[in-house]
Amino acid sequence: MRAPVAALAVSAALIAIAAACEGAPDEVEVLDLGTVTLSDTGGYSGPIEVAMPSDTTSAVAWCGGYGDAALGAVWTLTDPGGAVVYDGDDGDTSRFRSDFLDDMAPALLPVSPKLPMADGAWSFDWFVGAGNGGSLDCGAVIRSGIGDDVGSDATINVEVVFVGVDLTAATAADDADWQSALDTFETEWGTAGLTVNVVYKDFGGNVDRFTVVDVTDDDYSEFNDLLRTADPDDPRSITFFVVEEIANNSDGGATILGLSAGPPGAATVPRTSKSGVIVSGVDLRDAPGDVGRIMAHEGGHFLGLYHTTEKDGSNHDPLDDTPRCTSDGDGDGILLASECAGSGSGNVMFWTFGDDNPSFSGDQGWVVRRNPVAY
Amino acid sequence: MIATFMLILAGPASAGELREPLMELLNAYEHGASAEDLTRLGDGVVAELLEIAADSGVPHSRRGRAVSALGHYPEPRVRSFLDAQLTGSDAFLQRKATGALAKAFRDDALPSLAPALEAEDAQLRLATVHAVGQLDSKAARDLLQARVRREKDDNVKSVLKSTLASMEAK
Repeated sequence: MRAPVAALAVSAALIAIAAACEGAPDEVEVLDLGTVTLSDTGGYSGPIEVAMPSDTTSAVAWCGGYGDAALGAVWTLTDPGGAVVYDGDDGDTSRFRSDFLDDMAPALLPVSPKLPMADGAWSFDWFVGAGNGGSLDCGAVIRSGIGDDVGSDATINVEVVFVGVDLTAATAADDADWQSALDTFETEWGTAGLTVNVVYKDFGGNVDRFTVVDVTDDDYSEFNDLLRTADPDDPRSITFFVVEEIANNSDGGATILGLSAGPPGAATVPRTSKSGVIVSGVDLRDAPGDVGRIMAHEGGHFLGLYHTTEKDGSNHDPLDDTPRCTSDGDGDGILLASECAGSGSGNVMFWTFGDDNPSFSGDQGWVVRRNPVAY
Repeated sequence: MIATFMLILAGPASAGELREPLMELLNAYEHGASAEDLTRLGDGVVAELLEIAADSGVPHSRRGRAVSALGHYPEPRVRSFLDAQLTGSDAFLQRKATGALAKAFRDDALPSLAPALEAEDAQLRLATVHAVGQLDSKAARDLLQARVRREKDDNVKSVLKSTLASMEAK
């Protein structure tokens, strides 16, 4: 049963970050929505209102600080007209989706053209499970100024941080393998109308600890701790950490090719467990193009995209124009790329490497160009 | 009887009929191949995983995933292969071999893993600590306890201590 919690008023601490483009009114504003208390055994935040001005393009709202051992997600989303557009009780993810995430649960609007941005007060209600520490810190980032006049092109700043791999901020620009990875990444993102502006930064933290990021099925704290160091010089950037590898010690140390915070990530918000993407660089010297593909795929998750089809076909993304694969030809319960030719294997967000030169769909491009980090 | 399995690393190996579906599983962005996934592919998986792991034409991460996937198969030919990787020259595959050995052979893998705890490579020692830490036995705890007294690297020592604490809490 939900405990009634009064709606919070938006409180102070507005931080405006203007876009670098001359003449562009496209701005990002971070709001502190305050702290709410809830039962440590699990409970709801209560309605958290985020007021969207009439020229809002997109927003990411979150409640977080509940720790790496607890999971939370948006349970109810109500639009400015009072309609419940997402209800976790009925499981309809055709227009909006919020998966359970540890420590912090960002929610992106819009995440589908079927639920476009509208001005007025949107109301989010998070559910957070046991072990949450009894309180949530909530906030939002709003991109406004140009409304839905986003167009077919956008730029995204990417800050690349090398951790324990044989690249530095000084050597990356002249490294042929790295440039090959970057070419693949930029080409794939280009199919969504995205231009990438890349800068490099050397890692100032504990390199020995994060060269191999160790996780288990139940403990992503080391992954989260690396993301908590993300502090790009331009906050309107995505931080990509390139490490030696991510290893899952619940699976005998098997390598994870890449992982994003979220989806979605905490766009434009530094130093949180959802502030970037981590990519395994172990293929850099023998398959650099694959590193680029991993960056494109994981970056897509950060920007709010989901797998078009999951490995077992159990879920699809909330977009109408991304192909859905349902043909398990050999009946083994796994939807391989070879079985999904023409129905997703050519999409960047398929669950595994599919066709060469994958691309984004029109709706995927629509979503990512609207993300607060884009301009 | 000691089973032996020899691989000649002469370059890209020829692929069997399971190569394509196995590579698709190993190519997943965020997950390795589960035991259930591998079982669904039918017979011949182990032989193909051994080929993939040894194939210099396969991207390094996928070779590593094949090594890790071998951890689902506690067979003599797998043991020989993993022991060879652990004492080989590829640091990344050495790390993957530690986890696969522990997963497949449990405490029987400790004689192979113990020398890796003494390796010069701190990342290999770390991987071995994580691998041994997945074993719930006195022998595994004793091995890590013996190492923690001698470990000089702060990161490895920290992981040793936290791993031992987790093992004792079980």
